[in-house]
Amino acid sequence: MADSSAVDTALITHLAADATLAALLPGGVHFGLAPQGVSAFALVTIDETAEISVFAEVPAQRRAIEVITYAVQAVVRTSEMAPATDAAARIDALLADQPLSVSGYGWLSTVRVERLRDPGELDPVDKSIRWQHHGGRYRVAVAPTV
Amino acid sequence: MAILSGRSGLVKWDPTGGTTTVALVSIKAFTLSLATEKINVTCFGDTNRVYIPGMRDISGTLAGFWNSANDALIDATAQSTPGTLDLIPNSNDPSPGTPHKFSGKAWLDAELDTDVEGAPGLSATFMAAGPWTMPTIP
Repeated sequence: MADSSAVDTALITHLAADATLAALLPGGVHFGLAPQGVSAFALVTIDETAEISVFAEVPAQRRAIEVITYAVQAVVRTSEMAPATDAAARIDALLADQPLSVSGYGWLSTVRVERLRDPGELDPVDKSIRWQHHGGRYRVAVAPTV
Repeated sequence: MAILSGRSGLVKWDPTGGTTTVALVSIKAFTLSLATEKINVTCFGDTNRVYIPGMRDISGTLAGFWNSANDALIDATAQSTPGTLDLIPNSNDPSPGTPHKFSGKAWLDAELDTDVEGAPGLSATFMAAGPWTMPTIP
């Protein structure tokens, strides 16, 4: 049976492999939590997942479609909006309707279902520092290959 | 006898009308209607309408996804002779005489439903084309 975490890995790998995004977000692409000390990075989290089953004689073939909605955001420590905005645009160009190569799965679609933008989260330690968040929720649909 | 999960359900089809049915792929639901028509025999003096049973009608629906690697359901709609349809609520039913299946010759029609928001759906309706057999519950 296909490993669902391969979809997470494929998404991270896809974003991390892009040189343009790496230049905009030198802190890298991180799943769930970024390491301490980075100030411009992409953060990927899972918002929700759904699975659709079909009839099949082999139980392992009953999971037909997996749909995972990821929040993918550029997070940049700055009072200016441009860096996060530029990075979010690059993330969108890399993900929206772009094929994803996932081990054990066939790619069906990647759709942005919602924009995300928080133009000024205050740093919890130093209130003079702002964190810009900009990105979107992306719904990825994949089908396990039999 | 037991209540079982539909997760192990199965729909099988033999386009030749024989007994070598093969599972239809990417199907996730079926319905089977066993509705017997009722003939109105209400007479003068009756205090309410009265009916007697006529002939049982067998029909139903299949639902799932369009699978680009398999066109069995599409092909079925163009047949000039009926195929054999097996409807199995649970293919892992451990009780005797299993799997319990509703089976018989049928005509199929299909409908493709494509939406920008999801996977293309493929549904079908069927109606009996000959006598059907019902599961034998011991």
